[in-house]
Amino acid sequence: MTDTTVEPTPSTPAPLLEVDNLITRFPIRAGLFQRTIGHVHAVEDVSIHVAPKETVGIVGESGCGKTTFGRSLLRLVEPTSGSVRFDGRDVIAAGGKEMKRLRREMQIVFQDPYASLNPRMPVHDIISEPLRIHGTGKKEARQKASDFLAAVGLLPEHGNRYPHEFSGGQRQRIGIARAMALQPKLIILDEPVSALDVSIQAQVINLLEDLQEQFDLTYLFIAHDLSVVRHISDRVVVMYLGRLAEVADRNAVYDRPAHPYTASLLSAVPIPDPDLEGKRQRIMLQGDIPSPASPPSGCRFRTRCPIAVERCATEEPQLAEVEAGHQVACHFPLAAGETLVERVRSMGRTLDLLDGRSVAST
Amino acid sequence: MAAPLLEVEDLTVSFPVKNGEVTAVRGVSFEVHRGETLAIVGESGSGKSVSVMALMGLLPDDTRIGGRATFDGMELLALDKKRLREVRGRRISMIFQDPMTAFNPVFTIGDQIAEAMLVHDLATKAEARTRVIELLELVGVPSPKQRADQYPHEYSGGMRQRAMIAMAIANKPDLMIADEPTTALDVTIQAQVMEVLADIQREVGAALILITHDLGVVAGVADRVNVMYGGKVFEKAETRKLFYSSKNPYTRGLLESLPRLDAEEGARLVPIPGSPPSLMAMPAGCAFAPRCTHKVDICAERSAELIDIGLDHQTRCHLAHDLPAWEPDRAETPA
Repeated sequence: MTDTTVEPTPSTPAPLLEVDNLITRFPIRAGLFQRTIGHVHAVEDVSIHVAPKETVGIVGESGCGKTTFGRSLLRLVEPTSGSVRFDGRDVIAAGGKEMKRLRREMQIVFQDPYASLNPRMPVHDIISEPLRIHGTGKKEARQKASDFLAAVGLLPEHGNRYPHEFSGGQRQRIGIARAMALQPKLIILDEPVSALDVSIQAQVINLLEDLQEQFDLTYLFIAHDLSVVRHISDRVVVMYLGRLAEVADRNAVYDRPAHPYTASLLSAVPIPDPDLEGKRQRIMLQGDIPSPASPPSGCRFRTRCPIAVERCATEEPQLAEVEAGHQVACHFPLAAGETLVERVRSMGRTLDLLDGRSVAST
Repeated sequence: MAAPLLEVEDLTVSFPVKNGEVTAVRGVSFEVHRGETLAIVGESGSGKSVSVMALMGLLPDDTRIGGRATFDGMELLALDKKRLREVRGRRISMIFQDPMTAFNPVFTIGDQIAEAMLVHDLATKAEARTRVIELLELVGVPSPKQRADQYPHEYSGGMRQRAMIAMAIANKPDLMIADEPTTALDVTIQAQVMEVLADIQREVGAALILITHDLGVVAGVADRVNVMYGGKVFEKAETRKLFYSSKNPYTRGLLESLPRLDAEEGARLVPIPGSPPSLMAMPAGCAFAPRCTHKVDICAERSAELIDIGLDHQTRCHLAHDLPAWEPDRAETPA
């Protein structure tokens, strides 16, 4: 195993995870001979580099490809093309043995803590199973399982119980302990708190933050809840229909979104503050998310975009920097400080706002 | 104030289980006035859904239901099945969380909305058809004429939820009950559907009971809020009072534990310790006591009563008058 020696470059350490031009498509089969009649474009040309100990949040709505992206990195689904390098090693080209070694260091925590734990196994065995698979002796595996049980805030006696005896929050702790058992460097967290009750979500988020601090973990945090992602992430990636819409530091994405989709998405999130909700100008996006089996031509967001023009239908925007570290795939990104409502007004268009009023053209 | 449209008093709901019974709702009282939006907030197991299902007669026959519920002068819990069916769908309608399972997959959306009218003899077939198209248009379903002849699987999640709202308002009900109506939807679609629901409610003039766990949605649409925990109402207040001057440790804890879109950077979340109680093992005293940072001896012994703590503000806490001052996060500038 390679050791985590600090790279000599102090400002930008070598990325732990380098994803370049990743494409994952699923064939659509139909007919008597199950011929492939098309593809679902789940992940289209996604490139992201993740630094050690960084938390990168991946947000987007259903069908945006965020879950497939996470699974493609571990090759739980095979990517169609592109490159994934972990700690300098080629994940896509790795054979069975190498892949097994890689998966020691790249783990995943799933959304549904009810479906992802074997109901017939006591918790001790659930946590120590990955260790056993990777050749740790029975006694040592048991000891480590106890250690990680404690690390996620469960009691030693919980080890002998079965998953059904636990609440949702506790089960997610067990899932996290299992992912931690092999002492990975990277954990892909796929909607880790969205199945949990509100009062429990904060417990699990705090636990994840503590574990990261304690074990120098790198997180890829996949979620649809923008408030949770803002809280936990250093950098945020916004996906729409398989493509990256915007990538930036957390504050840049939330304080000065440049992509009209990011701006609309943020605006749609309700904030638990009645006075604020009363005066916010919330943008209402029209229409549904198109099917990833037949994405719109040009910019994929154009069918719902309030500022789309002809060029958006013919030319696909490429990810480009609008400021250092802030990339946007839009022909007409919003300037820092410019709101989407202002832009729409300046174009003389109307826009539906969520309080039922409509912005008149100016 | 005029008599409430719906007044629920001391509602209890118990289900039989292998070794006895579990009580999911333990003495819930609330009222809904004409045209207002009441949000019922709570986590899983709080009894928020079960209490309205009981009122609507939608629970299994062996459920034991106690208490009183008066809807526009009628005793809801005393109605026989036939009378209850007349009220349900005509005077009170429901919008469920999962529109995929709420619609019958083998009938068209249009036929199902029409049926809601025909079953109550409120329209002829031809009238119903015209009205279905009007309704679909009203809730923002594009090309309603064609869409009326499509089946539920041909609708997206957001469109199905719009169709369900259309069905719910078909008979111009006095009260709509929406149980987590946007939980299964994406955030941009959720915003569309909540907007449709709020507009329609204004238009029809119906009262709305919104059952949800999402305090953000509550902040935007509710006039009043009931917070439920362990089968009881823990706090009842006008919306701003609840968010800005809660007098209940559970409500405060819930609001403090939320990560906010407009939160300060680097602030650590403040979770409520422990988990919600199991219905099988409800604590003896206050259901929230095992998780409460303010608890005193009496909390473990008996549950507090719901007491008046201000105008249109009630709380269930032994320490209601002695809780420390509380300054919730409040944004100064609009986003």
